[in-house]
Amino acid sequence: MCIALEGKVLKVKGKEALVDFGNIRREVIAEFLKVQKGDKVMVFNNFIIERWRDSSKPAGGFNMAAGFVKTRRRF
Amino acid sequence: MVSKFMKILPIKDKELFLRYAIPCGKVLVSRGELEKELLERLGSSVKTGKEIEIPVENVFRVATSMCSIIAKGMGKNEIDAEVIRRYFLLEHEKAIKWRQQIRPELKVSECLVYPGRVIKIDSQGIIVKTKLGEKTFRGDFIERLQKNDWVSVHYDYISEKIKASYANKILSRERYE
Repeated sequence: MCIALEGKVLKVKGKEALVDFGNIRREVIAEFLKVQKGDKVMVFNNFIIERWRDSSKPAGGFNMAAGFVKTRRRF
Repeated sequence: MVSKFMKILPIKDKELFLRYAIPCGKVLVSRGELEKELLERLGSSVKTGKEIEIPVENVFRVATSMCSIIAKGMGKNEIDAEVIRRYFLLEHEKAIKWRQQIRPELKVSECLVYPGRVIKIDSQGIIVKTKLGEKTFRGDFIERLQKNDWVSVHYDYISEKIKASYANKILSRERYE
């Protein structure tokens, strides 16, 4: 299952970002989405693929009637 | 603030993408990320060869993000069959193992896509031998299989028939990793 992991950006250096996943920190690639310190991000295979900047939840899954719905369970 | 996704490229071969993505769709349903009805509709479209009108790019966003990254690396502006196979057959395992390093509690074995060889076909299903052993798989997405055919499997499904040379490429690559 292709499920991304949630983390928080601690530091950005060029196209790399240090992300805190709670139990572990990793340098990940921020080439495809601009991020800044404090952003919440979803990461998969070392790539940041989604970000958000306040307390709202990530976009979540797809719903036929409503498009995206905020139902994603976080890790 | 609504979250922002990286730019997702359009999928040229939606049916092939779904053959690989649908098998783990039940996990997304159980997590509340995908409607069961939608998953069934997509599965039905693949089985019957009906045109897929749903924007698949928006349904399996993590997989399409990864395919988009691969496509861009290959200088492509869409997710074609080559990109889909490269992700699911060659890069997917690396991605799943990356996730396991951070969240070891998440099960991975069924997530992985394996090449395998058809051993037997009967009314119960299709028995395929992979590196994990023999197991019965669903052949919903594939027709005209024969004993000894090479296939790719994901969860309980056979995703597609693959060339022996491609299966050997995957297997030989695994031996060196």
